[in-house]
Amino acid sequence: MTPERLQQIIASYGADPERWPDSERASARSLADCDPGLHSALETAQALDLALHTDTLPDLDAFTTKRIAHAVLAKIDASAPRTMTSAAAATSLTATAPSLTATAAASIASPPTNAGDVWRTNLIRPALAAAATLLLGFSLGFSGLLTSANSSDDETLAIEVAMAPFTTNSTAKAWLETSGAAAGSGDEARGSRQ
Amino acid sequence: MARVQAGDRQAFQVLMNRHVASLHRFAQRLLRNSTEAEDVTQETLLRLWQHAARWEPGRVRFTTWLFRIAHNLCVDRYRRNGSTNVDESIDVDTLIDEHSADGAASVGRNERQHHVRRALNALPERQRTALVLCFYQAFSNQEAAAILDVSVDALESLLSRARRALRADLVEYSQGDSS
Repeated sequence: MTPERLQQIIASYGADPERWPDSERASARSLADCDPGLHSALETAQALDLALHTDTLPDLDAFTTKRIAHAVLAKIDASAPRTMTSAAAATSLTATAPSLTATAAASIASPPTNAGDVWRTNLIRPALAAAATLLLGFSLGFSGLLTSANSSDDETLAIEVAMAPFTTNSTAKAWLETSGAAAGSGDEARGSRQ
Repeated sequence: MARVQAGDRQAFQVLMNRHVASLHRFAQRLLRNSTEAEDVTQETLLRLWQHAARWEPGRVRFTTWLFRIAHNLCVDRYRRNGSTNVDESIDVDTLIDEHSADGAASVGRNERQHHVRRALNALPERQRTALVLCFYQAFSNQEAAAILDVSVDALESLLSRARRALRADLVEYSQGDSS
C-alpha cells in the first residue's frame, strides 16, 4: 500500500475504512494510522460522508410493499404460459362463432332439393341455428371471463378444456359433420371460411 | 433461487419480500420519483421471475444480477424522462418536523438534506449510480463494477469524480449560505 493508492481509495470510497476494498483494507488502515500527511484527506472525505448521510430515505411502508408484491403476482398470473392464452382463446371463439352463424343462415336460405333435404331443413337447420346463436353468446360471454384479471388459472384451464372442440374452424366443422348438421350446407360453410 | 428457477411461487415470494425494499430504495435514489421507483421495482421482480433460468450460480452473485436488471430499467427511464420528472416536493414528515419544538434545527437539517439531494441529482447518471451502489447500497467495489458493467478502476474513477463534484457543490453552497 502506497500513500498515493490510499489517497485514491479515500477519494473514491470516503473516510470510513469499512467501505474500502476488502483486499486492501488492512494495509490501508495501517498506513492511514501512521501517516499524518493523510489526515487532511481523511477529514475532507469524512465531511462529505457526513453530508451524504443527511440524505436519508424513509423505509418502505408495509402497504407499498404489499401493493408491489400483489402487482407483480397479478402480472405473472396474466402472463403465465398456458396451452392457449386467454386472449388467443377469446379471439378464436369469437372468430369461430360468426362462421357457424353464417353456416346456419346459409343453410336456411338454400331451398331443399329432395325429401332428405326437407327432413334436414325441418329438423336440423333450426337446431343448428339455435346452436350457433348459443355458441356466439357463450363465446362472447366467456371472452370477457377469460380476460378477467380475477379468473384463476384453474378456471381458465377448465374453460379452455370445455371449449376446445370449438376453438378452430376445422374442429367446428368436424363437430358439425359428426352431428350430421353439415350434410346439406357444407359447401356454403366452407365457402364462407375460405 | 434454484426453487424459483423451477417455478416455485412461494420461493419467489420469499425472494421478493427479501429484496423489494432494497430495490425500491435503489430505484428511488436513481430516479427521485416514488411512482417511477415503484414501477421499476415491480418490473425488476417480474423479470426475476420470467428470466430466472438465465441466472447461473457461481458466475455472478444473485444480488448483482438482480440490481443489474434494476439499473438497466432505471437507465431506460432516466434517458426517457431526463431529470424533468424528479419529485422534489417536501413530504409530510418534513412539514411536521418543521412545525415541531425543534423546528429551527429541523429547517436547517432539511435545507442541508435538500441541497445534498440536489447536488446528487446534478451528477451525471453513471457517477450517481456508482455512488448510490457503493455508499448507500453498500455493495462491494467488485459488485458495483459488475452492476455498472465496468472495471473496478473505472468504477473508482466514477466515484472519485462524483465525490469531487459533490464536494465542490457543497463548498459553494456553504460559502453562499455564510455570506
